[in-house]
Order: sequence, then C-alpha cells, then structure tokens
Amino acid sequence: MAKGPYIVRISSQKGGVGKTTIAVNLATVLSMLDYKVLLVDADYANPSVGFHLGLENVNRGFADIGAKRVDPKSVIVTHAPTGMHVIPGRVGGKVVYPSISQIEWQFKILREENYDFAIVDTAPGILPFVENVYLKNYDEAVIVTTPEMASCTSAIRLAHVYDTLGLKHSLVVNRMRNKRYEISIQEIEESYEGSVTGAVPEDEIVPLSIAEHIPAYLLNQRCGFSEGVSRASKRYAARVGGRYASKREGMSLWDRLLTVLGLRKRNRVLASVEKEEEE
Amino acid sequence: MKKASLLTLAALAFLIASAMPAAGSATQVNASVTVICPFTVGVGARSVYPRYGTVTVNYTASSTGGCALTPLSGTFRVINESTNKVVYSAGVTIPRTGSQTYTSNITFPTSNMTNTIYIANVMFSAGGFSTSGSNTFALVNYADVVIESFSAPSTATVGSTMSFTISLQNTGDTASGPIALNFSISGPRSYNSLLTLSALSPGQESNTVIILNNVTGVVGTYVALAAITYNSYGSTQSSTSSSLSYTVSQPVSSGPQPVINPPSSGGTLPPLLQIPQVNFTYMPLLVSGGRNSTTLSQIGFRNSGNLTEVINLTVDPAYSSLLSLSTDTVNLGPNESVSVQAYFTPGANLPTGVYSIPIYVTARYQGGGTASGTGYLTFSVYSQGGSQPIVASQVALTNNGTVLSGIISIIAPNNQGLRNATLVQWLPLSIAKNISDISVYGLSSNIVIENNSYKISSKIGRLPRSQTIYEYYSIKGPSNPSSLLRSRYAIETLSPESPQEVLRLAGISAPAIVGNTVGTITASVLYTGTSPSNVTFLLVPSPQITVQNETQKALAFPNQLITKQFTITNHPKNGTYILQLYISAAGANLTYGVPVVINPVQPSNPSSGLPYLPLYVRIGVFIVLIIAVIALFKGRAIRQRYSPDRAGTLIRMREQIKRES
Ligand SMILES: Nc1ncnc2c1ncn2[C@@H]1O[C@H](COP(=O)(O)OP(=O)(O)O)[C@@H](O)[C@H]1O
Ligand SMILES: [Mg+2]
Repeated sequence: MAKGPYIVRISSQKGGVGKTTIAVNLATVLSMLDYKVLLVDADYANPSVGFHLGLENVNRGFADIGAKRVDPKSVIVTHAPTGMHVIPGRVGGKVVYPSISQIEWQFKILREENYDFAIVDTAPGILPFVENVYLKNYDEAVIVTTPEMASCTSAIRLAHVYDTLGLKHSLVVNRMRNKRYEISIQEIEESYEGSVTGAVPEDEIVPLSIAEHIPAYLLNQRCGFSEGVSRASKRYAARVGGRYASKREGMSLWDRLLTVLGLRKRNRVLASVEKEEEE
Repeated sequence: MKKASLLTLAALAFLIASAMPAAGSATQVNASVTVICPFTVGVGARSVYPRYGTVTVNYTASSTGGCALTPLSGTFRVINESTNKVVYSAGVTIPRTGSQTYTSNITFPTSNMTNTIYIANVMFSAGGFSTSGSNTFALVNYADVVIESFSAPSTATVGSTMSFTISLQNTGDTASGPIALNFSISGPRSYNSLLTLSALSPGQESNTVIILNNVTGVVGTYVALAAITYNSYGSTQSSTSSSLSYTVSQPVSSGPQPVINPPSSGGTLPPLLQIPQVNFTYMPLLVSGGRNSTTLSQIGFRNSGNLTEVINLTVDPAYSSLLSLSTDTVNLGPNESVSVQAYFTPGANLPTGVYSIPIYVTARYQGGGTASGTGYLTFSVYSQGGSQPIVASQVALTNNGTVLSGIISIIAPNNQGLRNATLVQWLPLSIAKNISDISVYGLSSNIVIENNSYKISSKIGRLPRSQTIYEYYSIKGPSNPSSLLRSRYAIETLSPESPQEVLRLAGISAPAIVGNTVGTITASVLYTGTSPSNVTFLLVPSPQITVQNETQKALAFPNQLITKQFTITNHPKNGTYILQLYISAAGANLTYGVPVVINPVQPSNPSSGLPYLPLYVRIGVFIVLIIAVIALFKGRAIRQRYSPDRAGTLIRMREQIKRES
C-alpha cells in the first residue's frame, strides 16, 4: 500500500488570521523544494485559495468529491507556475456541507494519491458534530494565530481540542509587526504547549499577491513574509524528510549579515532548486 | 483498508457464552466449546466504480493472536450511505486454511444501485460478539463519449475538396481511454480511415476535421459515416454512428467546366504523348493553382536524334483563357533542349475542381514524316484564402520519364493555423515497383502499403495561418504515371492542444529593488513540445524600468528547462510596476505580468556607500555593521516587550480552558 501524503490541516479558531495565505505559500515553498504537493481548499463556506492562485473561476471543488458522481481526478488542477496540484473550492454556487461518510471518502481519496504533502486549508473552528470522526485523518494541525490576546486565547483553545483528540499540532504566528503592545514570541512560547514553527511578519506583499493572483512567495522570495514562510516550511519538510528538509532554526547570523550587506546574491531555496534543474 | 474492532476479548467471551445454554436447557448439553482465534477483518475497495455490470471488492481476515484463523461464516453487506438501506447482502466465510490471514473476493451486481456513496461491510459474529470491517466507495457513470455533431457541406462540385468536422464530448463521469474514430464514405467513390483520438476527461470536448480530395470526383450522392469506440474501466464502449450525405454535381457556369479529359474507360488514362527522337525532360502531369493567380509550369524537350525537329503545340480553344504557352512552335537542333512555359490563370469566378486541358501536338521530324496526338495537362483549381486548408500539388515526369517528382503544398486557412495535422497521401501501388523507390522529404513521414496503395503519412506540427509548407517526393522508374492523377490525399486535423501544454512557466523571481539600482528578473520555462524549438523571451520595459536585454532566445529540446535572466534598472520612483513578459515557442506562447517593487532610496544603504571609502574605513564600517546587525538580530526578539503579566494571563486562560472542558 502506498504511504500516502502527510496531511496537514491549516486551522485557526478565529477567522481572518491568515490561514489561507499561510496554506498557499506553505504549499508553494514545498513545491519549489520539489515535494509533490496537493493543496486542498476545504473551507466549504468561504473558499479563497483560488484568489491567491488565479483559480477562482473553477466550477468544481473539494465538496464535489464528497457529493456523488464526480471523478476525483476531474477536480484536481495544476497550478502552472509551481506545478503543484490544487483542489480549489467552488466559489460560486450554494454551500454544501458534507456528511461524515463523505468526509471519510474525501480523505480516502487524498490518501490514495501519490503526494508528499496534502495541505488542507479549512474554515475557522472545527466543523460541528463531526470533528472527532474526521480529525483522525490528519497527520498534523497547524494553528495560525496573530500576536494579540483574542487570537492567542483561541489558538490555545484549539490546541486543547487537538490534545484531547490526540492530534499533533504546531503554531504559526502571522502578521507580526514588532510593536511594543504585541504579544511577543516568548510569551506565546511560554503559554502554548507545542512547538512554534513560524513567525511571519505583516507584509505588503500579501495584499499585492492576492491582487496579482500570484502566491506572495513567488512574487518576492526575499521579503520578510517569504523568509518567514520559507523557514516554517522547511520545518514541515523535515516531517517527511528529503534533501531540503532543514533542521536548522532559521537563518544564520552570517546569512543575515550577507543579506543586509546585499552580498547574498540569491535566495538559497531558489538557488538549490535551480542547481537541481541544471543537473 | 480499514481495521475494525478487535476480537481480543471475543475468544474468552465466547467460551462463557457457549457454556450458558447448557445451564438453561438440559436437553442441549451437546454445545461444543470452541476457542476462536482473535482476528480483525478489513474490506478492500477502490474509491470509484463505474455503474455497470458488477463490482468486485475483497475482504481480508488477519489473526491478531498469532494463531491460525478459526473457520467462521459471516455476512457481507452493501449499504447506501445516504438512505442506510442494505442494497446487497451475501454470506461470506473464513474456511479452515491453517493460516493467519485469509482474503477473498466478493462480486455483486450494480443493476439495482444508483450513483451514490456506498459502504461495503463484512461482519463475522460468534457467541454474541462480532468483528467487522468496512470501506466506502462511490458508483459513478462510466465514460460516455458521444458524437455531438458531424457536419459537412451538403453539396459540392466535381473535383472540389470536402471538409468533415466531427465533434465529440465525454458526457460521462469518468475519463475515457483513447478513442478510435472510424470514418468512411460510400457512393460513387469510397473512402475509409481509422483515426486514434486522444482520451477525453469528463465534460471534455474535441473537434476533428478531415479534409479530403477525390471524394467528389464523380457526380452522385455520397454517404459519410462516423463511429467511435473507446475503453472505459476495462469495457469497450461504442457510440451510435452518425451519418450525413452530400451531393456532387457539375458546377453551373457558362465558361469552362472542371472535367477529367478524356473520359477514362476502365480506369486507365491514355498513355503519355510520345514523339519519336524527342525526350521530355519535364512533363507536368498535375498542377494546382489558386483562383485569380497565375501558376507557372513548363514542358521541357530534348532532341535525342541527330537532325533538327519541329514541334507545334496548340491549346484546345475551349481552354485558351485558362492556359497559355510561351510559344507554339519549337525548333530543336540535335541534342538541343528547350522548355515551353505554361501559364495557368484561373479566373476569380472559375468553378473549383480538376481540369484536364488537351494540348494538340504535331511534330514534323525530318527523320521521316509527321506525328500528331493529344497530350493532357491536368490542373486543379482551388479557391484561395478560405477557412479551410488547401492541399495543392505539382506532379511532373523528369529525365524522360525515368523519375517522377511531386511537390505537395499545404496552405493553412487565413483565419486559423493548423496544429497536429496529418497529411495522408495514397499513391496507386502500380506507380512504383518497390517501396524503396519512393522517397519523401520536407516533412517527417512514413510510408506503408495498405489497401493496394502506398500510404504516405506526414506530420504537420504547426502551420501558422495563411502560410505554406511543402512536402517533396520522387519515384524512381514510375510505371504508370497517369494513374497518379487518381492519387488521393487527405488532411486529418485533430483538435488543437492548449498552448500551455508546450510551454510551462516553471518559476519567476521578481526583485524588490531600491531606487536607482540594478536588479535581475529570472524566468524559467519548461518546454514540452515534441520537436526542438526556439524559445523567445521578451521582457517589455516600462517608462520607470529599463530592461537591458529585452529579447533573449534559446533553442529548447523537448522537456528542457530554459532559464533566462534580465537585468533591469529603474528610475527612483517608488511603487510596484508590472512588466509584461512574453515567452513563445513553436506552437505556444505565454504572457506573464512580472511585478517589480521599487523601494525608496535609503541614504544609509551600505552597498551603495561602501565602494567609495578607503580600505581601513571600509573595515571599520564593516565591524560597526556586524555589531549593528547583531544588535538588530537581538533587537528583533526584544522589540516586542516581554510582559510577564500577559504571559501569566495566557497561561491562566489555558488552565481554565482545560478545567472547564
Ligand atoms: N502576513 C500578512 N501580511 C499582510 N497581510 C496579511 C498577512 N496574512 C494575511 N494577511 C491578510 O489578511 C487577510 C485574511 O487572510 P486569509 O489568509 O484569507 O485568512 P483566513 O484564511 O484565516 O480567513 C487577507 O486579506 C490577507 O491579505
Ligand atoms: Mg481562508
């Protein structure tokens, strides 16, 4: 039996913290690192992955796999610039919540496909009544939060749900602005019982990327946002192993120095991908 | 495959349960005590099955106690997920095999099932305890490829080209396999071909255009038939065939009419004109020309005797408006060669078709008397600049008839290019003694013998609109040249592939640069065409951004990744600018808007300040910078102030959440 993808649930208890933004860019970095990635928009009510990728006009989505009569292969599209596969959400049409067995069946299909990662972008919270049944299908949940009280408390609440259900989880802090009044990474690390895998700054590249329909990481790999996402991505890459999985915690001081001096010519991720291609 | 509840305790429980009836009834003391080996059961099923015929799933029982499986019987059920109704049930068994696992297939019909999700469940019960396993699958419609439309003009004139369009769509739920299209024509002339079209995914459509000459050669009514077969989930499916008819008639016109002269009897044309002592160095057999244009051909003679010969040529007066010769008398000295130009000028309104124009020849050769006869020059007339591709040909005999050479030109319609087309030509088997006597060049071709013909298939990858591509062929020692006038050709155009499939943007980096500096944009494309092609990159500058190497080219081989770098300089105006990047290769092009972010000039930017300072100052600045960077690095963590209060609040909330749930 094929080992199936490492299925990651991108989640938050609170809306608008950047789940979709993180999901899309995490998937982008992983595919640029040569992993086979399937990005799934499972936010049945408000699908928005398509806006980041220029795939907002597809008329079939993840919900349709659960509904009858659809060949799973027919809802998978390839995102040309990265080559990753995407099951976008159906932006138009009415909201269809799947039944438990439909969800079971959706995951069965994800497991059958030959990907390294399935990155599943979800709606805020956990779909009521069915959580314990379907959460076991995930290998890990990523909790996205912003550095402020309400969002952090919600993240801790979600972490508790995952703990009681036995699902491994990790935390990405998004939209950091380095302000005094902001909750610091140190405070989050003290209160969150799990590993903080990413600290991603607030960056203008994100709204620009949505307007351009190009993942922010592809627009500019050297900006703060991309470096934050890229660092987090490599930690997730380490979950499945492979050449690019980095166990190093972020950028070395030397890297930072070279970057500030403008001497570090190219993004290392891109450079290593290009080197691969030349061979 | 999913595992269900364990039977670990079942063995023990069964011992107790089977002992109970003995206490309840004195007459049933013969209850046997069986020890059941604990096991799990799983069901194997695909996620989708087409709803026709039968579905086969399997179940596997695996011992969890390290013991051989106990023989048992159980039940297999198929349950409709939405209604919870059992739609199929059957007994299943685990026989005595002595091994620790057992797998068996179960096949059930789908005739009374609908397209929805089902649960396949296997349950074994013993002594009040049960173990079961289940799996989910969906029934969907299999591929259903239909001929959406099959069309062609319903009337045509003799000798004109016919174009047939066949549109297919997969209206089923699963992808089809490759589709075999059987296309045939019956009537005064017949035609048959089998094409393989690519597979169609659900909802996908395809168009196939078949262009034929020689299916309008004779007046009458013709019937064309299209039928398809394909494979879906291992079963061969076919569509109902689709047919149409068309009528071929003589065109209504007062001028010359297309006609094959002279009317052939028994399928053979009269032999070529022979003149004693005179060789034809070039004798056109068939020339194609567009309406309202002049096509030049020639008749070449050589005197092989040792006396002067005089030859007179006259075009049949009925066709004098169509064909004119540069001279009507040729004086040929010994060993002399001469060519007579033949100008073929079809008028704008001349009916399209094939014209055989008689040329009367008298030769007074001094060796002894007069010879006279009729030669035929055959012209085919097409209308230019239409929406259909045109196949034009020139066939001539050279070297006194020892070599036959032909040029086929394919002209793309002026409103649309041709993509993935195949030119098929059938030459009568009698034309050459051996397949090796035929050579084809110009296009990538292959020759096979099929149905009493040499079949030459040539690939046209892409031909832009209104452009012409040529194929040349020559036949050594042609044995019956006039039979070539009967040769047929066809263009089979499969539906165009989407251009993105040939060029794929693999990566693009767009820099954020500081005002008045130099940056690079790197673009990589994967070329997946079938033959090598030039790939051209064009990055269009904008008023704010100058591109130093706007156009770059590279030869790409199939599946090669091409990376190009553009150097850009900007004027110091902040903002985001989109530069258009065009990438093109044979058969494809891509456009991409590359955003370039220009940040304001920072006076303290070290990379622009350093080069002007003496070395010791630079070293000093470097050390200060290292310290600054370390400070920055450290400062990052402390910029947001750590507050024990806030951390405490969060921890208190965490504990409260834990307590209250
Ligand atoms: N790091 C960031 N910097 C700037 N804007 C961001 C960042 N992350 C998210 N955003 C903005 O926040 C909004 C909500 O993000 P989104 O990813 O859709 O959140 P969610 O999926 O959690 O609802 C988007 O409009 C996006 O532009
Ligand atoms: Mg979202």
